[in-house]
Amino acid sequence: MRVGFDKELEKLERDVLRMGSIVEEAVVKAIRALANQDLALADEVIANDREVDLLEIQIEEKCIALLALQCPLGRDLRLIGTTLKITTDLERVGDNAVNIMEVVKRIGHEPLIKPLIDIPRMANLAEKMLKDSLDAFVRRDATLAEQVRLRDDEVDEIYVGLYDELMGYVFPGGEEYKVRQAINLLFISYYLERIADHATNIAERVVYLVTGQAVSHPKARAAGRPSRS
Amino acid sequence: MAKVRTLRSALVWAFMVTAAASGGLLFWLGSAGRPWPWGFSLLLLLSSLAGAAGYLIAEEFARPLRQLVASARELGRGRFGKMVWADSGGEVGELVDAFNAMAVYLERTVQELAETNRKLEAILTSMENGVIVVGRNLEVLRLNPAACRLFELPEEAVKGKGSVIQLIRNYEVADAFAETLETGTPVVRELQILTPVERSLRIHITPIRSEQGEVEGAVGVLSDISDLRRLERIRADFVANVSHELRTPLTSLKGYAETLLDGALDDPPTARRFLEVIQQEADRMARLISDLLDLTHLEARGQTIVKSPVRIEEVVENSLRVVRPAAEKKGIRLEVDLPSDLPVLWANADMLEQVLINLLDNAVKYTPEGGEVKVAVRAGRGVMHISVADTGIGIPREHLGRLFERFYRVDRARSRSLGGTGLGLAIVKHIVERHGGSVGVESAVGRGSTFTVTLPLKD
Ligand SMILES: Nc1ncnc2c1ncn2[C@@H]1O[C@H](COP(=O)(O)OP(=O)(O)OP(=O)(O)O)[C@@H](O)[C@H]1O
Ligand SMILES: [Mg+2]
Repeated sequence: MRVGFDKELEKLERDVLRMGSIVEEAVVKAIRALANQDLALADEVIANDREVDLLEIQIEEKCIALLALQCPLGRDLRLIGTTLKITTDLERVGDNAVNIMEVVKRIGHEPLIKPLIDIPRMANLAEKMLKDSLDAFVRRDATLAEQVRLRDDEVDEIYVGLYDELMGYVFPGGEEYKVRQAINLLFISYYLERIADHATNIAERVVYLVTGQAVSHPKARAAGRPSRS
Repeated sequence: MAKVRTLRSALVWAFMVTAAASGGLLFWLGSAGRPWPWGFSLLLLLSSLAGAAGYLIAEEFARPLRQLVASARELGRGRFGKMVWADSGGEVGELVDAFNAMAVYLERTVQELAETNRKLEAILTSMENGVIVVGRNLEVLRLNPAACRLFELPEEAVKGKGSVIQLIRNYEVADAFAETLETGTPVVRELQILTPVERSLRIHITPIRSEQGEVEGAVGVLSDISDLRRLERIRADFVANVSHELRTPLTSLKGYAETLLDGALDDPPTARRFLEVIQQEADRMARLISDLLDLTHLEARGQTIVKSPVRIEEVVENSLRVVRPAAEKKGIRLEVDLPSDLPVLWANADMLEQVLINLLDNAVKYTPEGGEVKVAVRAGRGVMHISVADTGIGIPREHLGRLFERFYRVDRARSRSLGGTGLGLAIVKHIVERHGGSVGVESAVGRGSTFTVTLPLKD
C-alpha cells in the first residue's frame, strides 16, 4: 500500500513539473511574440493554454483522490497541499501569458511608441523567477526559493517606474494611438508583474514544503495600482 | 577470526568425545569379561592420546581453512592475487584448489568488466550526441556530458538523480521517453527547445528489454540539428531568391516580346525602345547567371586559387577604367590615393579586379550626382589595406551585419531600379576570404560609406 502511495506521489510530482514545463514554454514564447510582434506565435500560445487548464483539473483531482483515499500525514500531506497550490499558480501564469498575447494582438504591427527596454527586462526577470521557483521545488531548495522571493522586489520596482513612464503618455488631448498603446503596454507590464508574483507564491510554497514553516507575505500585494505619493 | 576458533574447538571436542566413547567401550568389554585391573589407567592414557591427536588433526584442518577465510575476505574487498598455499591433500586440498581457481577467474572477470566499463565510459563521455538512459519509472540512470551541455545541467547531473522531467524539465523530451516505455517501441522525434538556448533537437529513443523481453528502461540519443536546419533554411531562401530574380526579367522579356508581336513591330521607334529594354533585361539575366556561377566556383572550397605577384596600381587603374563612364555620367569625381612605394601583393589579379569593380560600382551607384568616390591603398605589417570611400547615401546600422549575404539589399526597390541583384558584395567577401583576407564596412546614413579590404601580402 505504502509503496503504491509513494509511487503515486512521485507521479504527481512529475505531473506538476510537466505542467510547469509547458507553462514555462508558454512564457518564453509569449516574451518572444511580444518582442517580435509575432502574431502567429501569439495565437499559438493562446491555443496551447487549453492543455494547461486541463492539466490543472487533472492534477487537482489526483490530489483530492490521494487525500481522501490515503489520509496522508506530515511531509506527504505537505507535498500534496503544495502541489495543489503550485498547480493553481501555474495555471494563472498560463492565463497571464495568454493575456499578454491578447494585448500583443491588439497592438499588432503598429510601430511602438517607445523602444521596449524595461518590459523585456521585466519579462526576463519574471521568466527566470518562474524557472528558479520550479528548480527550487525539484531540489527542495529553500535557499533558492528565498532568493526568488527577494527578486520580486526588483520586478515591482521596474513596474512602478514603467507605470509612471507610460502614464506620461496618457493625458487629455494626447495622440489617440499613443494613448491606446501606452495603456496596452501598461497591461503587459501588469501581467508580467503578476507572473513574477505567482513565481514568488510558488517559491513560498517550496519554503513551506521544505521547512514546514509558512512564510508570511512580506507585503500585501496591491498590484495594478502601485501607490505613489 | 571468531569463526575459525569455534571451528577448531568443535573439532577438538569431537575427537575428545570419540576418544572417551571408545575408552568407555573398552572398559565395558573389560568389566564384562575377564577383570583387567590396569585397564582403567590404560584407557585414560589412550583417551588423552586420542585427544592430543585430535587436536593436532584439527589444527591441520583449520590452518588452510583459516587461510581460505582470510583470502575470501581479501577477495571480498576486491584485492585479488592472494592465493592460498596449502599442501594438504584430500578434501581440504580440493577446496583450496577450487578456491584458487575461483579467485583467478573472479579477478579476470572483474578486470574485464572494469575494462568494458572504462571503454563505455570513454565512449559516452566523448560522444558529441547527448545520451540519456532511464529506468522503468522514468528515473534517469545516466546522462553523458553532451546531454548536460544541451540542457546546461551541472556536471554532477551526470550521475542522474530524479526523473527526466525533474532533471531536464522539458515536457516534450519527458513525453517521448514515457511513450517509449509505454509502447515498448522506438520513438524518433524532432523538437524545438527554447531554453536555455534555442535549438532544434532530434531525439531517438530505444527501449531496453530484459532477457524475458520486458521493457526495463530506455536509451535516448539526442542530436543537435540546429545547424542543419539553418542551412536548409538558407538553401531554401537561396532557391526562392534565385527563382525570383530570374522570373522578374523573364516576365518583362515575355511582356515586351508579346507586345512587339501584337503590332508594336510596325511602329519602328516604339519597337526600338522595346528591343532596348529586352536587351537590358537579357543582360541583367546574363549577369545574374554569371555572378551565380562565380559564387558557386568560389564556394567549391577544394579548388585553390592561383596567385601571382600583382602590382596593385595596375589593378586599381583597370577597375577605374570600367566604372569611369558611369561616374562621368553622374558627375562623380574619382580620386585615387596610392603611395609610391607599395610592396608587391600575391593575389589573383582577375579576382582582385572583380572585388574592386564591385566596390566601385556600388560606390558610384549609391552616391548621388556631384559626389566623390576615392580609392586608397595602404601597406600595413604584412598586409595591404584597400579602401573604397564614397560620399553617398550611406547604410543604416541595422543592415551592416547582413550586407555581405547573397541577395541582401538595403532597399530592394532602389537597388533593383539600378540593376542590382544583391550578389556583388557576397562575391567580394568570398574572394577576399579565399585570399585569406577580410572585408569590413563603416557607414553613416546621408554621409557615405567606406569599404575596406585587408589582404595578406603573401600567405
Ligand atoms: N557604397 C554603398 N553605399 C550605400 N549602400 C551600399 C553601398 N554598397 C552596397 N550598398 C548596399 O548593399 C546592398 C548589397 O550590395 P551588392 O553589391 O551586394 O548588391 P547590389 O549592388 O544591389 O547588386 P549587384 O549584385 O549588381 O552588385 C546594396 O543593395 C545596397 O543597398
Ligand atoms: Mg553591387
